[in-house]
Amino acid sequence: MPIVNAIEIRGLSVSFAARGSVVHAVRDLDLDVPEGRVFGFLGPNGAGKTTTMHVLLGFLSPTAGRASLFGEDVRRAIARERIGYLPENPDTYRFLSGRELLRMTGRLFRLSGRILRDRADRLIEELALTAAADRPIATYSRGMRQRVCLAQALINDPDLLILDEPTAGLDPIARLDIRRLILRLREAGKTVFFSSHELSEVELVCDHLAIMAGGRLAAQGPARQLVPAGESLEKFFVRVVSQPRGEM
Amino acid sequence: MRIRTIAHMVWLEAIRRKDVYVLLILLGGLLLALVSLNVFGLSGLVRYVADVGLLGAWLFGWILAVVLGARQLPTEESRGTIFALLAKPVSRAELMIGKWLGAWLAASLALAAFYVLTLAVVWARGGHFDPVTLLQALLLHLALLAVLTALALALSTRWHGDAACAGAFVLSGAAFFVVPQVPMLLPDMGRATGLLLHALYYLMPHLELFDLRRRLVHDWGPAPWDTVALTLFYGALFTAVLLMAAWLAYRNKRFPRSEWQ
Amino acid sequence: MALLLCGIAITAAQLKERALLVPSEQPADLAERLLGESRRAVGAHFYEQADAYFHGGVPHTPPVAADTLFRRWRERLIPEAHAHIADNRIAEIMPWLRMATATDPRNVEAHLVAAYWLDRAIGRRDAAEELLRSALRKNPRDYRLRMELGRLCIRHGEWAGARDHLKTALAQWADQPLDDPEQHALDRAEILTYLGYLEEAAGRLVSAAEAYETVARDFPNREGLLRRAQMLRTGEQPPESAEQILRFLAAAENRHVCDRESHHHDADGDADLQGQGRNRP
Ligand SMILES: Nc1ncnc2c1ncn2[C@@H]1O[C@H](COP(=O)(O)OP(=O)(O)O)[C@@H](O)[C@H]1O
Ligand SMILES: [Mg+2]
Repeated sequence: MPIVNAIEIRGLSVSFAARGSVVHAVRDLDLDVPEGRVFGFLGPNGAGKTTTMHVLLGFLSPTAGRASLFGEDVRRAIARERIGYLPENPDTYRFLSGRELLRMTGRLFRLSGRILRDRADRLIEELALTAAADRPIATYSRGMRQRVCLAQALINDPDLLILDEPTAGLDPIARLDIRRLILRLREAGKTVFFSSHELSEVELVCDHLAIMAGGRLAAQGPARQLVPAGESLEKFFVRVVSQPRGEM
Repeated sequence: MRIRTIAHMVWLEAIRRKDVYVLLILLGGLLLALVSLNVFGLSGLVRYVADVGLLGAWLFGWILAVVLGARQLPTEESRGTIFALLAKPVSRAELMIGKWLGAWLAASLALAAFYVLTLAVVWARGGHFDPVTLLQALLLHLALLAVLTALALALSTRWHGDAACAGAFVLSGAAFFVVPQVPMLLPDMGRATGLLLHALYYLMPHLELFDLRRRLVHDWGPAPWDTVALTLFYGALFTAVLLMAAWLAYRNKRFPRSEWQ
Repeated sequence: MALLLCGIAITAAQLKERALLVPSEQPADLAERLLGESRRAVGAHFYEQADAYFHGGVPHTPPVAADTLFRRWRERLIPEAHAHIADNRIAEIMPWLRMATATDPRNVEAHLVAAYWLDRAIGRRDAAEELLRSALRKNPRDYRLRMELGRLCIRHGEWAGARDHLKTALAQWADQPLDDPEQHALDRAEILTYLGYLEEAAGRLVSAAEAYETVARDFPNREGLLRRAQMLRTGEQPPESAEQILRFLAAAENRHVCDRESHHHDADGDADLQGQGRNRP
């Protein structure tokens, strides 16, 4: 049985034309994310993490190269059947209640009836939204909104979860919740691909790392082997990221 | 199923916002004012109530169709909810059709409510509408709303919500009021302008075809069904063309990220 | 837009009613304050609407330059050939005239037409007279209002009242030219003719003869009037008495040529809304 990578990126380049000049957001990126890993996608602001994820989700067509999810080309809608996605700064439909949002989202995956109801109820419970489940999302706090967005990313019981800075702007307790959730997903054999620039976070949960800088892959490998002995992740990160970046 | 779900969400949003109710109350107030108008102490007058009531239904239906159609995609984009939505196995064509369907259905239901309100007042005053003509008028009106929502949706693929809204009002208003008059302008035009106007005349949607109010109010009896069917088909055709254009414009669109706004 | 206009008209009409109940010095010209000069256009719009109703829903449309596919298509849905509505449905045009008169109290024509139909088709002489009098308060110098009041009296056989109104109308006539000089001249002829019959009926034969002669001077084809004047001056008895003629006029249908082409009529109300009952005798 051939091993299929959850994410496979080959020669990916994305550039934007912005006010006369061209911004190369991602350049010639190759990346494999094997199934069952928690994969940390690191890099400073503007490194190209979000852009890469947008290609994976089919929001952007790449300037060059290709990408696939579980072997399906990302340009096809079916590639998104088995994934869940939490955008950075997530927001959602405020006129719906949390429960309605989960049910509606589930229907987009052709879930229905008993299965959908049970799954929505379970997610509401797991993400501590029980008390607010039937209130409009407009009345939710920021942390609750983040959680309900996470819940809707999980409604299809995805095999691959793509999280874009899931802990940005959250208080320490909420971060802890997210961390626990990621670990639980790993135990369940899921793949988690998440971006962050907060290293303490990453160290605690990741078993695989990739570091982006200036649109290029600066380093990647298993978390334990990537950082040389005696160097902290933070020192390593700064060293890798501040190497010459080409014409950026 | 996905199209239906997207349409359902549009529908939920429409009924949870206040616009529809505001318009309904406005129409009710207008009808009440009409009914209480003292016409030289005469009683039993009803035709003008029907006329103005239908005018209100037309105006408000028009506004709703354009507003609902124009705001769907831009609000998804400005809130950033478009990303979570398109991360589902939803194609952009499905998104487009679902949004259109939802906006059209919501506008149609509001329209039905406007008609019911007008009918109720007219009936209460002892007036009546010929049921077949009423059916024809309503069908054509629904077809008009389909065209209007598709137009607004198509414009909103490239423009911001307000601009798309204004653009759709101007374009549809021109199609309703100006386009039918074009043949009367033609003799005064030079060859080139004349040709251009001629092309415009045949290519722009003829929204005036969907207006059966006069037939209904003045009780001329039903229109020939073949013509009504042809007009319905014409409306469906225009809706399809507009949705196709909308999809072409939207297919590869890059969305601005919400954090930058 | 039209909806807004209706709203304004209704408010104006209702506030005015209230203002009339409370006899304060402030006939609440609300429409004027709300709309300024545009009230003319607004009033005219309602007036047009009334006209469309009169023609069974078909408004005046400019002549069509080209017979296009879409025009024919539209024609099958909304035919433009038109009819006049029957007298018993005339009432349906009254709301529009009500709004037209409420929004523009200086639209004398709308008042004239409204009063005419109120009296003729609806049988509400009281309302007709009240409407004309309220218009007179706004337009005290407009001879057409006095003239219509005079005709109203004639229709109801009140010859003394008719004479007073028509005399005033005649006095005002010279000070008020119309846009349409032909109509202006015809109006004087009509006033004078009515006055002639009224004077004759009251036994003032010389004054009647003078009236007939003045008409005949302006309209030489009215030989009948000239002959009648001569008979009066020579003491001859005309074949029909002035009373008979007046009674006939009061009962007569006002027949008119509609300025629209190609239409069939609901009933015998063969007339156009504008200039209704004018251009006579
Ligand atoms: N639509 C766009 N137009 C122009 N430049 C863009 C656009 N989107 C992203 N960029 C640029 O691409 C680079 C990568 O951005 P991004 O992927 O958001 O980085 P990260 O998520 O790692 O912070 C940045 O320099 C950003 O300014
Ligand atoms: Mg980012």
